[in-house]
Amino acid sequence: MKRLPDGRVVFETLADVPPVAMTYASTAWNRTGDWRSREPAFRDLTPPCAAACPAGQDVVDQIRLFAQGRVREAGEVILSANPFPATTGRVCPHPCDAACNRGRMDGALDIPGVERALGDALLSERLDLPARRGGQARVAVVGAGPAGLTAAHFLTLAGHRVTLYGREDRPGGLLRTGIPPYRLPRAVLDAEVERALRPGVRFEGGRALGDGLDLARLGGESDAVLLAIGRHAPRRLGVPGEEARGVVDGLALLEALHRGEPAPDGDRVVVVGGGNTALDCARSLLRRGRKVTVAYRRGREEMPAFGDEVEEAVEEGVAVEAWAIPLEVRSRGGRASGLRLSRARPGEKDASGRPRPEPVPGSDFELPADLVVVAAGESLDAAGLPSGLVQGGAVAIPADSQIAGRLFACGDCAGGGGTVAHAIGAGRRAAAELCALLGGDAPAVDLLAARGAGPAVAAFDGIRPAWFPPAPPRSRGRAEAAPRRLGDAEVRLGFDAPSAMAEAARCLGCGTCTGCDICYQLCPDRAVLRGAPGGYRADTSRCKGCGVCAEECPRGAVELCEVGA
Amino acid sequence: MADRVIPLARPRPAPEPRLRMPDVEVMQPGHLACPGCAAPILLRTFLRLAGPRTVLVIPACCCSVIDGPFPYSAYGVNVVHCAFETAAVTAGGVKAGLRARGDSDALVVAWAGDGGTFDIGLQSMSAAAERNEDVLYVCYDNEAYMNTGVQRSGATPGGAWTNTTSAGKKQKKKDLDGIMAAHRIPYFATVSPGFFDDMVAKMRRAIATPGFRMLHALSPCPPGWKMDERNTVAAARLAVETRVFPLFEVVDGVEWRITQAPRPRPVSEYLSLQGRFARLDAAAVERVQREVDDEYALLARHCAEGSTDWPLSPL
Amino acid sequence: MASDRLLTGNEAVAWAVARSGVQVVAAYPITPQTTIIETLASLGQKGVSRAEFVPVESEHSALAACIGAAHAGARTFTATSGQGLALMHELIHWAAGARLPIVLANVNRAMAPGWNIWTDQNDSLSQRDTGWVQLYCEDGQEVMDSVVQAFALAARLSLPVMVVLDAFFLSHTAEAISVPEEAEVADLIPAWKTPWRIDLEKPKALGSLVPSAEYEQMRRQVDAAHREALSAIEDLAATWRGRFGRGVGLVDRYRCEGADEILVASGTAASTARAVVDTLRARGRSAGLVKVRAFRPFPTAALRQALLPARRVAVLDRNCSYGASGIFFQEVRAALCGLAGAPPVHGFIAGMGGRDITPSTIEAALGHARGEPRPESTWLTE
Repeated sequence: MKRLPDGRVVFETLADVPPVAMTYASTAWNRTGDWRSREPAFRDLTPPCAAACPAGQDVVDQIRLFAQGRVREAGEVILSANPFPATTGRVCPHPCDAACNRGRMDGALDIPGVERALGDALLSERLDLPARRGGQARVAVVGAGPAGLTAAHFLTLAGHRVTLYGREDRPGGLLRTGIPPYRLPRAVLDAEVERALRPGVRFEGGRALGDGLDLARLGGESDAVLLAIGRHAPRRLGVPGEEARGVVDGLALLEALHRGEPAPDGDRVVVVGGGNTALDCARSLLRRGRKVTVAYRRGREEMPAFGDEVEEAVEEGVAVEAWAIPLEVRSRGGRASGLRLSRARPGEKDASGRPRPEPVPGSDFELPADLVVVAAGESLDAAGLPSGLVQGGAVAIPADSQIAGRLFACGDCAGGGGTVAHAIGAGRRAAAELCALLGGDAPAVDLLAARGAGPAVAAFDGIRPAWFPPAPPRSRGRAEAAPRRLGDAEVRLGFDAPSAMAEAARCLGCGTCTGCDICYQLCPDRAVLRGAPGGYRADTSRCKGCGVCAEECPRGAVELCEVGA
Repeated sequence: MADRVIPLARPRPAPEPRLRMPDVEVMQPGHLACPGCAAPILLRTFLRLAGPRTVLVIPACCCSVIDGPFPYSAYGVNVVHCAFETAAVTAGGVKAGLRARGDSDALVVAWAGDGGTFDIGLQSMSAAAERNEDVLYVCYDNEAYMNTGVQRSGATPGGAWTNTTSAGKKQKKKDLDGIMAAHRIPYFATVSPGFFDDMVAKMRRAIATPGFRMLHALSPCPPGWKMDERNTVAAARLAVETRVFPLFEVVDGVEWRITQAPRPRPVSEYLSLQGRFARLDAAAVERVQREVDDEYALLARHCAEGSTDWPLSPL
Repeated sequence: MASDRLLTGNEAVAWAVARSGVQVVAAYPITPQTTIIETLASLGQKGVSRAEFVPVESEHSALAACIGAAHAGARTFTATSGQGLALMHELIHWAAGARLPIVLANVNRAMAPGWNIWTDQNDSLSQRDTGWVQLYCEDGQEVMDSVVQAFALAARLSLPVMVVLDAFFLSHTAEAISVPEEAEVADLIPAWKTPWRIDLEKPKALGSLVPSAEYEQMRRQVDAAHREALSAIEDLAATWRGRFGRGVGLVDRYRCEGADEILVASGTAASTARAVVDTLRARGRSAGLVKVRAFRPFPTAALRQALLPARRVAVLDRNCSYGASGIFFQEVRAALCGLAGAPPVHGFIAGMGGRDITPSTIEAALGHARGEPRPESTWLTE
């Protein structure tokens, strides 16, 4: 009886055969992998939350690290994409949890709640930010809102010498002037801004294009100039009578309130508009004792304001007139006394996919109003910008111009998505683009690709709910409505740390191998091996291609492919 | 040009194993199971829990072939191959022999298919149960004589195609669970690889219980059930969710307890996964649904009448 | 020291099992085997036997349990009869193919239908091709001695051994039997150490699928073990004679010197045949008896040696292979076939279903044997 090197056993003569059938070796030498026509690919996909995040965060990794109690490490991950997690956790419209696959099970993860808890925890952590590396250029960033702050932060971490110019005397942009404290407490904003500047960003306040800043001179002093001036020029209503006193722009109102100025007179307020600015104005005035109605030309469901805002406003006592188109500002003695509106009904869908409001003939009505606040959207403030740089309402630098390669624009002013998260993502990408030109260690643009996740999104049909014990979402709740009206205390409550971690632990980890071992445990042939970079790999000498691993992976991180494909 | 992109030396979350299993592996790869066969999933899991001081007694069935031919073996423990009808009694004999030589701690397991349990092996299993032999009997049930090429057995469900019931089996599946409960054995449980934690807990409990204990495991067979190999575990899960194969345990024949009660799904979801039920029309599916509901109601009555609050303790 | 007891054949089986240090007994009751297991149970209660008893639900299961226990290395035993032996048939093959040292006592009982609890040999002879050693006993002492020797042979050869005794004539007939002490025979039964016992340190699968060439080689080794058994049975008999002063090996030759006519018989019929030989000798006829004890392995050489000098041979069969002839007759005739000077062999069937074989039956056979030999057996119905 001879033992071959591959593990097989041969009986050289029949005389070697034992009296009975008994074992001389295991079957391990048998290459059942030769049977296969399919095989598994263990590769991470993009989780839907990350795909939806305008800031490009690696949402799953952040959340799972936090759930594991590793706050500093979760902080490293989130701060490598988003310097303002405590802020975005409060004010972002969170498309991530609208996309959350768990929403099709027992309830989406409260991602903003977790992000906010993580952000707040990091404020007390005093993390060391990565050291400055390599860059030497002088960069001017114009606009100290979230886009500009983010770009300045990452450029400084890359080693560049950055000067950040802001219109107000403190950085923050619309974060500070456009979002009331009951949504974003000042202490939180200040702490995150301070951390963003900490690597050595030089800030100069009270400077804006066309008002203390000359673009050409900036260009001469810097190796590159980045415009991040946002979109905050008021839009007019376009109806007769809007020149009367008592008709104000929404953003301007909020800026004034931010500066501590008293609100304009007028006990009965009508706010025209359906976005966050409109509601922020409405609720800020409510807190100053006014009676407030918000009039919007489409329905409540179509209001661009983030869903909870409207609910909270109504709880506090704001009235909402939906499907109401402003026709005319009525005035008495030069001062606004009322707003005439027409009822509307949903018509054809427009370019945005929402039904166009069609006036209903003969349905005019009037809302009494001493103060009309117009919050009907913002546009680019082109002051100080050469006309050749503005196209279609946004900054656009022609590729063949002299300044291409030295002048850049990012965020809302360049046509960006309009939310804080969009701005943060835009600022980071701009910083990376600038590092490509000027040197220095650029921030990672695509965090998921950097950890080997593919671009395909992990859809719900790849999730196996049976592997996840039911766990309904924890609720955070809101402060009581009555006391809320009286001041600036935060409306939406946050999770305490244990609740935040418990909520974070509900994360399925869509498309992301979490080392759960289910593929390893279930393989009938022990053909799933541990320890590859993606977590596991197939032993092709054994894998019969059954596909149980691919079918059972709870988070769709294993795909069954044809061999040779 | 950028000097370099900051390399992603950032932390990743730690692995989170979902299934707590001992780190030991007993069964070897290279065995002859069809791709996607549930039996090696069951056996590999079981042996990791039972450990190397285990003797498997295996009658004629798929698992007697899966182990590999002389001179090889995949299972990594002692295996006594035995005649078709004799799994339970041979196991009892092995245990008596081990007792005689002082190795009474070794676990003796009869590991048999549905043919060798429901049909030809029923007699010797019934007697071994009546004698309360110190044997753990596992029936891995793929619901037909699969090893011989898919012929019907007493375990084949009504309506299922096999090579001897091409128009669908007329009779219902034999109620082996009721039979074994009536034997008042110390522990009986149904298990499904689609509910892994439940299966592991029951395997552990059965291993630790002295006397005659039995696990009835659903073991889907992709070729015999005519379904894609990747659906083996999913089918085992659906069988439970559609209440075709409820998960329950019976202690001493009188304490009945349903151990998993997932949100029920219509039986059509289970049937439509498998080509062996393709002939069933809507009326037939409705009949199956009614039968499943009636059987489950009966099981629920057993549980209501006979049980106390019985925690599923991982012994 | 051995003790003399008045024991039936069945009780002798039980005492022999107890004295052989058996560890596991599995059995199912069937007349006329029942008193074997009842006696064993009683000996167990008294502590004379230390075997664990498994009260199985059928004979098939009885042998299955023994097979299991033997795989674990335990010394095992079962007993049955007639229908029960037939039910075990699949596993009779199994035990021999698995090379397990199981000992089985079979009380020869006629096969149904109709129900018949008395003796003939068709049940045990139907198992002759399975690879078991078969020893046929003439009296109670031979039963006692053969069962103990069976354990010794089984362990030495790794072959199962069947000890056969006639229903009622032997199973239920009491005689004075010398019962050895356990210590007097323990050294004769070797510990069974083979690689195909369950080994918890070095596990293996026993009895897996075997390809054809290897299977044939394994079966050839069963046959080779039977060749070895021929000398093992004789060696053991010699040792036994030396120690206890009694007993025979493969065959017993009684008054064969110069015998013209030799009877060949087995079981209790042999003891009647002895009496007939004495009667004939007294009348001046030169008659002798060869008693066949070992039927498997078939003692060809011993039979040739004993029978070649005779002028005629008359073989008594308490069995029939329907469509051919009596079975001992077939095999004896085959053993002498083609040998120069071999005497004619005549076959006779008598005593099936327990019918009495009397001295006149046997004399009649010898009378028939003076005629021409016939290919089939002559049924001695009177």
